[in-house]
Amino acid sequence: MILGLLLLAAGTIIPGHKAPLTEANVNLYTGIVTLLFGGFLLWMARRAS
Amino acid sequence: MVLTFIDYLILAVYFAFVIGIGWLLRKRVTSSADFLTSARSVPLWITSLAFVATNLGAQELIGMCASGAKYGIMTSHFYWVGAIPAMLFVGLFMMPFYYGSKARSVPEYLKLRYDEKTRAFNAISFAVMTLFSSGISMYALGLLFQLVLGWSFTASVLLSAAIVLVYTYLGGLTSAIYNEVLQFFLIVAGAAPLAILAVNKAGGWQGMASRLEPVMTRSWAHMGDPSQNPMGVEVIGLVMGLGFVLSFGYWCTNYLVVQRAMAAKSMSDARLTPIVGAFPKMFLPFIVIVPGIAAVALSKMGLGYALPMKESGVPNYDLALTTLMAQFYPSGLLGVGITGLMASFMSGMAGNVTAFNTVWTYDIYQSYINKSAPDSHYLWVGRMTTVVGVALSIGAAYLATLYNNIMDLLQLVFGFVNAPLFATFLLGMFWKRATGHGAFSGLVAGTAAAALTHGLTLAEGKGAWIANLHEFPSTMAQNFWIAIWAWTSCFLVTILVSLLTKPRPAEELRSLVYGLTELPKDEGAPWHRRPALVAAIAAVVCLMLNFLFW
Repeated sequence: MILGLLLLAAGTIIPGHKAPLTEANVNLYTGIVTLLFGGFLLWMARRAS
Repeated sequence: MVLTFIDYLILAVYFAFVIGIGWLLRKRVTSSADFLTSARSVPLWITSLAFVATNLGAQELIGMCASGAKYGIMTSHFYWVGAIPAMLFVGLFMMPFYYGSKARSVPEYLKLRYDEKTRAFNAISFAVMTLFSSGISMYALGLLFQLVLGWSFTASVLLSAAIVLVYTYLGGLTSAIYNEVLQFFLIVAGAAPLAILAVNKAGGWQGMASRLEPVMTRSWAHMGDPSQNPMGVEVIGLVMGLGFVLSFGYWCTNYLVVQRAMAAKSMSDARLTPIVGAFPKMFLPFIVIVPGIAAVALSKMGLGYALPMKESGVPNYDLALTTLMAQFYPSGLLGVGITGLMASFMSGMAGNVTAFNTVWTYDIYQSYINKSAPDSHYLWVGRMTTVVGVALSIGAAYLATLYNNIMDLLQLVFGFVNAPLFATFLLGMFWKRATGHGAFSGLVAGTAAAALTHGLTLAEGKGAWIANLHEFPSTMAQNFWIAIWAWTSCFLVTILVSLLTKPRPAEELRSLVYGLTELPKDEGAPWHRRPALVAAIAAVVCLMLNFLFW
């Protein structure tokens, strides 16, 4: 989740920052996916405990 | 490639987490069993991911991407032929003996089943191989970060070694295993976006296939003759050499991976560990191999990307992964990619160090040097061995800078030692008549056969140091056939000498060999807790993947 937040922040604060062959805001999208996955793992951990 | 503040921040957060995990787990360590074997306390989902992650070192990440660029989807054979079948086999048929024998390590199982000299052969060769493997991993990390990021070789090596030392010293095997799970997710987070972005840019699988030679996108169609494919191998060499001997020799006998399964909470979990791990393993080719294939397709599209070249004029495939990251990852995601690479180095190194310190402490120190000390002493020895192991690994890393063919040498020696070992275990676990003298003679014969095959054959200018009786089209083909001869020699000599020597009484072999062991039963367990059923599902999925990329 921390990773997701950092990427989301990067994608939000510097949206124009792109790599040579990428047009999309990959930091933003990867950040969202990572955040969702981290949330899923946390939820599974809470369920298990 | 230049890293910015956000990239370094991600790396720093990762370092803090791995040390934090070690710190939190230190209180669980109160005995040598806790430190060296996790005292059989780790949940299934952790052991199964650790089983995969400990093998997923950076040499695999970089090497598989490079092989994908060089050989295409045929590289997937290292997974779908060279890993999955063996992982299913060890879970179904060998874990009952490893786990049920209460052996603390693979060499200890050999001592229980055979005798001390067989244990010593395996323990000493494994300890040496593991240290060199760890050191070469560090050497590759230092070299890569020096080349790609401009970091000092010494700083990269010492930093990664220091962090691994801290968390393995604090929390032992449990810390290494939990960190391997974190490292697995980081590796996927660092590599999966690259696969998606690169393949999408290259026009998807069909777009890539239209730009590449057919052999790059078909895994079996060009295996009829070595001259038809860039690997220079044919079906028999691949299936018997890689798929059977090398693959089973590694996944079924290498304590580095088996240790993770032996740390499981129960027999059922121990059996399921490699079987459940087979599922993420079989999909790894899509994130480690396919980007390499995409790199070749992208270099033909006039987008300004090309594979870097060596001075000799051939492509430097080892840089495929990092050059793709530089093209597709902005700052932020680049930090994740580099952290994923760092994590893969560290998971491999920690795996080697923890396997080494268990084998050293129990199989060498306790067995031959100090047999009857209190457990607190062995816990202390385990901790000190961690420090010494890391120090020796650093030494091996610097040795590799002096001898640049040391990686080839290590690969070779691994093949010499691992290939016959599987025959020893197979006969030990499934044939009551196998004796200690047979096993030891077989191992010596198998290792000698491997050395002879290498000495009498040539491949890409390597080998033939005795005479040149046959030339293989590639070193890969040579390695596969070395493995086949080594295994066959060990198998036959073990049987022959066993028949000529006295076996141990049946009562001494209970829980160690088929026919004298009560095998676990799964009736009544839910479907996802039945190893045979889960393995069957994994096998079907693996077969489907083979057909999909035929």
